[in-house]
Amino acid sequence: METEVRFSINKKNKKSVQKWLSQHKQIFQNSETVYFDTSKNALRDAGVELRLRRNGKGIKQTIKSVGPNGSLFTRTESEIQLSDFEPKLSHLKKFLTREKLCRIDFARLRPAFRTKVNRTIINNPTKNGMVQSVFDVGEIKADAETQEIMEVEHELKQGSTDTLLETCHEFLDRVPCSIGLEGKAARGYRLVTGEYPEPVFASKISISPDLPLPKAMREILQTSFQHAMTNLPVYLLTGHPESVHQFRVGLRRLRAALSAFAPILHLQNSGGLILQMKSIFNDFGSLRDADVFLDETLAALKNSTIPSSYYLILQEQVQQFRDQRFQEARDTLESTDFARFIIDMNSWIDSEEWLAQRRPIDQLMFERPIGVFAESRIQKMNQKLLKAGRRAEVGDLEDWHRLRIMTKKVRYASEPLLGIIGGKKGPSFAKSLSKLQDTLGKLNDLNSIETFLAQVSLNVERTDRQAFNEAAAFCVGWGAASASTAVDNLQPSWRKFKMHMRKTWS
Amino acid sequence: MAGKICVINAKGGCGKTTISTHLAAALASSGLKTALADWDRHRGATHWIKQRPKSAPNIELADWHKSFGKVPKGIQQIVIDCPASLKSKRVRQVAEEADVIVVPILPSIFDEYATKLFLRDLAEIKRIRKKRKKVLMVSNRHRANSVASRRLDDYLEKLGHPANHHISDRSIYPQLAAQGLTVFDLETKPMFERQMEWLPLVRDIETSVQLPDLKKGKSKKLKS
Ligand SMILES: Nc1ncnc2c1ncn2[C@@H]1O[C@H](COP(=O)(O)OP(=O)(O)OP(=O)(O)O)[C@@H](O)[C@H]1O
Ligand SMILES: [Mg+2]
Repeated sequence: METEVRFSINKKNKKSVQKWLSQHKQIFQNSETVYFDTSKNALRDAGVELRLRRNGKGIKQTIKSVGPNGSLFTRTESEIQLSDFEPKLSHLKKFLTREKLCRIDFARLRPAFRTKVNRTIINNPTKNGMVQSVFDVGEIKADAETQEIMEVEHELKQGSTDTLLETCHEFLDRVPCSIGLEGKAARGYRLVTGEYPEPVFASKISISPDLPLPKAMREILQTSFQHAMTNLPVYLLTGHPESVHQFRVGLRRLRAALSAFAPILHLQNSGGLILQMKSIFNDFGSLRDADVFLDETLAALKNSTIPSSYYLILQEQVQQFRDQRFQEARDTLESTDFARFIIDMNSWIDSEEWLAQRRPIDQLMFERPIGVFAESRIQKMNQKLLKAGRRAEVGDLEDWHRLRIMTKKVRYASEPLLGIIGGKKGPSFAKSLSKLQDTLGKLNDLNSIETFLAQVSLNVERTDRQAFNEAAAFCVGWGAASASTAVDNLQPSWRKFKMHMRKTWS
Repeated sequence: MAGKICVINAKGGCGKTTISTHLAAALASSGLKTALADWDRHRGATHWIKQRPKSAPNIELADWHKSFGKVPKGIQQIVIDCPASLKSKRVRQVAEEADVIVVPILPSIFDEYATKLFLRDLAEIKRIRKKRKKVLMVSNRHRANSVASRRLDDYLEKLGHPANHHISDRSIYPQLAAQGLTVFDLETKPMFERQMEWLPLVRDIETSVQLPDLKKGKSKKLKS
């Protein structure tokens, strides 16, 4: 296992890095590393990176897993010493099953790309361990292409992860910079293939109902957090709207997990971190709204009686608004505060500080498998939903709005738990909850369009504002028509949902 | 299916109701849907639940005098406060079908003798004789340095049923009982100390009771 945090450095903060390093005894090296793969990059696709590097004694071969293992900054790693500059393939057995190995065409193994860097290394002993910090300046080369490298990596060599966290904070205080979630290998492959990374969709969290509660909770939190973070480089490199969306989905899942486990969490000391997460989530909200408007609402409007002048001004202004928000979001993600947030969040999740260990009796809960908790928690949330539903059935539109909000909460909070409950029960109930939320959500679409366009309007130049507001008014009027059909659907979809709920949980 | 915890001893006043209410409260306040079945003549459990404040973790009452064998809907664990006798067929049946049996006993010569007879009757249940069902002996009103408590431990050891757990003698137990409470319902340092004393017993019970939601296969229904 290797635990390492990377920060991107640029010309502006290079000096402060050097100054920070000079506090310690520095070792300087010229280092060249060759990454091997087949012409079809079969190793990468199988989830490993293989590299050779000359060092003082001879040649070192390193294999690492491509993605994180358990914790955002931790990967599986293995090193062996070689006598000649030829990859030793038997080493791969540590990482890949025989089946996977059989499928790789090793005849086509070749140097895929190489990195050449000037490294400055310091070993930073602290009270509770040792961190090695490495500053690399150089380039990645693949065929005719090259790309600059300038980054600092802090690797935990000894002791607990607190030591690493401490070093990172101390470093960030002296060197304002952004987190680097993309490693050298990923950049190398990009250079070789010319392919940009694709948005990463949420994978199903599969947790056995027998897993002890804290372990299962930690896994749910880490998976959600990592899902958000893998979309970060995609977003910074491509600006793909889906990657923004997926980044938010990851954070939303993290928040959902916190509400799923709310009764047994102790968050009093973590308020700052959670607020920060919420505010990042919300900051990205209007960017997401703009993307939805451009992709979906405008497409639907095109088929209406909208005058083309309205259409064009809406499109132009919302696009401008989107571009601005995109830049702002980018600045957020590249900020030092955000780097701090990521490392803090990661270590907070790993620390299990969030477990409420107030009373001795709480220990019992943590020894139990998550399945027991999941089922009774879902039952409780369903009771709340039924209560709000009973009000709405005989109430007015306000009550339906309350039910809409409750449905949204329950849908997200139950998501991580429903995945744990075995069989078809969980997924089928999740589907029926999301259907209900879709219908109820239509109640609010109109409000959302109105609020969103009002927000855009603030950004519109004064000379265009009159025209924009007219177009916006048309849009809102058009939305009102579709909202009235939503009201007719409320009773039947609620009843249908209620029946399904009874069937599933009786 | 709910896990069934049977608290029983032929001797009256040995702490069956005190232990039943505490086990139920421990399970409920750690998040399980719990019921307390009152089947004792004195209806101590019913009275206790009626006193219980709304703010305390909910424990459902199952009145087994009225509807014997009933387990309320959605319950994960049920603690049964049994009558002080193994003579009736029904009691033997409940003991037979329980997942675990908890036997409180006091440090007194009379209790020792009554318990000896009780354990002999209990051994007529096959699964118990064959040690396939756990019987947990709880030495109640324990005083670490008292002669009587030490005597009891020796006695149980010789009977082949050594005390599995000890609950100490504290005036707080009758005081809390009068308010429908247990040491699990208050968050003070002395209560936390008392909670620690119960943890090993509750843990032992939980490992003996298969966890309800993950339980595979069917379990028999009580015939009423
Ligand atoms: N550990 C203890 N420390 C102090 N007092 C206790 C303790 N356990 C029980 N008592 C008290 O002893 C008395 C008898 O206890 P309890 O009612 O629980 O016994 P029981 O076996 O249910 O009796 P019965 O056979 O009458 O139903 C009660 O007043 C109770 O408060
Ligand atoms: Mg009693």
